[in-house]
Amino acid sequence: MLSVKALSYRHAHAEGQALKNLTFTLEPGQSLLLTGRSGSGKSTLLSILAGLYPHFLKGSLEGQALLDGQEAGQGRVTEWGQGARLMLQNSEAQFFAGTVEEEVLLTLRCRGVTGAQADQITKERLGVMGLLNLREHSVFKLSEGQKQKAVLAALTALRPKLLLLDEPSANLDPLFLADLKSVLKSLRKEGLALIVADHRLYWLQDLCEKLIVLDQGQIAFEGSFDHLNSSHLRQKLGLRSAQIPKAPKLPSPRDLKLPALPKVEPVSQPDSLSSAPDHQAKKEMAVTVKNLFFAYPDGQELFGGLSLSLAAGEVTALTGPSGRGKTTLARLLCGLEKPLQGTVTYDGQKADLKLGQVVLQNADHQLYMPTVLSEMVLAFGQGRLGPDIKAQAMELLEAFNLAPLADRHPQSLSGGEKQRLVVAVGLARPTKLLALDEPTSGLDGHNLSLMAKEIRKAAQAGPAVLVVTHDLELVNLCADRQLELFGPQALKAQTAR
Amino acid sequence: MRALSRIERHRGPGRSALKSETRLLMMVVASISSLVLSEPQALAVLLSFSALYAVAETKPKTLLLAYLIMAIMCSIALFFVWLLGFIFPLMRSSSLSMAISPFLRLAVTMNAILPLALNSRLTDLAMALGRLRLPGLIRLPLMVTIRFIPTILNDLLQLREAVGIRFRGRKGFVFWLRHPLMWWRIFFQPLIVRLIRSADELAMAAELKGLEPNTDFGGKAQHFSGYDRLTMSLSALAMVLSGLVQIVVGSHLYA
Repeated sequence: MLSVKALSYRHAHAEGQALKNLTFTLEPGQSLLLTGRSGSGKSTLLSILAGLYPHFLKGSLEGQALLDGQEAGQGRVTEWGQGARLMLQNSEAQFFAGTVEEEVLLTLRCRGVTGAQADQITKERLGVMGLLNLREHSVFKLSEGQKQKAVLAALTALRPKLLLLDEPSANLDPLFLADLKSVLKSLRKEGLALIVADHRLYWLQDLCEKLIVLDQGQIAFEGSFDHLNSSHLRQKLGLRSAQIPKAPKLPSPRDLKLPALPKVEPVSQPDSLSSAPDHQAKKEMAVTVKNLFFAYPDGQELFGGLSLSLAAGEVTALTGPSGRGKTTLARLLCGLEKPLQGTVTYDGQKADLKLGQVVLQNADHQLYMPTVLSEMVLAFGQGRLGPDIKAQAMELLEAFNLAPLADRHPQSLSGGEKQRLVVAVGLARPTKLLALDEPTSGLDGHNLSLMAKEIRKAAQAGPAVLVVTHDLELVNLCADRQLELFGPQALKAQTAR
Repeated sequence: MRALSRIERHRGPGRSALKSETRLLMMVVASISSLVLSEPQALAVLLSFSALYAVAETKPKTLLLAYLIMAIMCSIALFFVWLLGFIFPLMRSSSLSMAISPFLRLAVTMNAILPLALNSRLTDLAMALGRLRLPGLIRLPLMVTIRFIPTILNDLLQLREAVGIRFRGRKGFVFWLRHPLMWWRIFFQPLIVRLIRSADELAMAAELKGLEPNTDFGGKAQHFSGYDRLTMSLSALAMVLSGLVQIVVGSHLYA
């Protein structure tokens, strides 16, 4: 069905080739995991397979990508795209309509399916994705997982032959990943071929039987998913773990005081909770939250009487299903949002952005200067370059493996590089609380380890570090404690180390 | 997403009250009138009516944000007009109308576009454009432009927040006065980069979806409600009044 023969691609104005001599095939119902270090060419390959060359990719292509005999780049995007559909990493960018239902309907109408037939297919697709109750919801108000499902509903409405997914797990929690996996399995049963480009591997076990690892644009390894069990191979190619990361152990601290509300979900191992040593009590509390109430302007209550504390020098991972208020809690803790009631204090002082620091997800809005180095220098609080400041800035860039890019424009970096840079910028200033929102979405194994190491180092310097994440591997690598937020008043605490 | 949710909440009460055809008509009327009218007094009449329409259809915060952006743009434009006039005296504006009319036109057009962009469902709009029998080459760019407006507002809100986090309390007012170029770096450069990226992403999304100039979106003819008819009547009244003011003021000036 899909046949890629000696495919090479060079981006416009680039010196080297982004893809080099790739050859592989894929049959209906088969699925392929495409992985490799950041910048190895995964997204470029998916874009070519989605028919975006030469309309959006303006470089030069050699070799062939054939889908049922039709060659990529020879027809219009819409003609090729009927056979292959691409889900972009940023699913929000893919929406064109206002509501979930409208998004699917618009896709169908664009392909000439209208009237009762379009309505019927829309209903069926939304049912498969479990979105029927959200059909009238604005696509922009959905959680990340729901957005991806809405995109999938639209993409699969016309029964494509090949589905291409670019980093689908980047912003999804483990529960949603399991859900997405079962949806993809059912699509495969319908005969759909699947190519998933991802850094997180564990969730793709028993979904993808074929494996291709790209390195600097060429196939570095080809085999089956089971080959990823080799730690030597993963280390050599900078890959993440292929196994589900172990859950953190030992439920513990007593510094969480939740009001007795009827909606509180049961916390696992309550006996251990009450009998575990109160190690938090021995530590200096940098951040204290007391009786916090918060609701969105539309009245939806998020927190009702939440109390917790974060210890200085500790990394706390804030996890839990999408849409439960993890990012909002981090914003409240940094003083970016005002609580309806209750207090957030840093060593007794009221929470404020002058004392706290939060690094948001979207890196594009957080980079201002003409070079990576000057961005770091600005972060150290100086408008001008001095030898000491430059040395400190270079040291942090080295730590994040960004020193070779010091003279590049920050906006010209790849997504993963930008992400590392904004975190480095966040670490430059001493704070009482450092909150990082999904700092590792889209990072490969090597950069994940690097990030975890720097987060731990930052905590050792004194502040309380709060990491909002779905990345279980990051939690295992750097968190001292895990707070799981799974309901308006439900917060479960565990010590990770 | 949070930022856009905020925009969603700021959407006007008339999301389902006015038909897309009415909103389109309002935009066309406002655009043509503001092109034809040249006297600031006539444009001011049109601006008053269009502002009423915008206030009725858009939440105040969104409207204020849009006006703030427009005020910044106008200030930059006026500064460069002044600079050009200073360097080349022949290029100085000879009258008040020459100086402020373009901004009044911009405000009128913005008042008419915001309710259309923020309150219309894209499929309703596409169907309305089809029913109006507009050629595909106008329909498709118009749809993409309208879809782009919430994206711009979302980017602006996110940028404002990111700047607030990075610089709050760390740079005094004096710093910003001493480094005016930092304004450009911090506010405009990331915004321009984001807008270019968003435009690319949107074009890609449209292409992948299969949006084409000749796409038929179907849909049955809609009946106008009393609110639609009232809005259209007021727009006709605005046209007549502003036209009269244009004639009276124009003849008075040239007499």
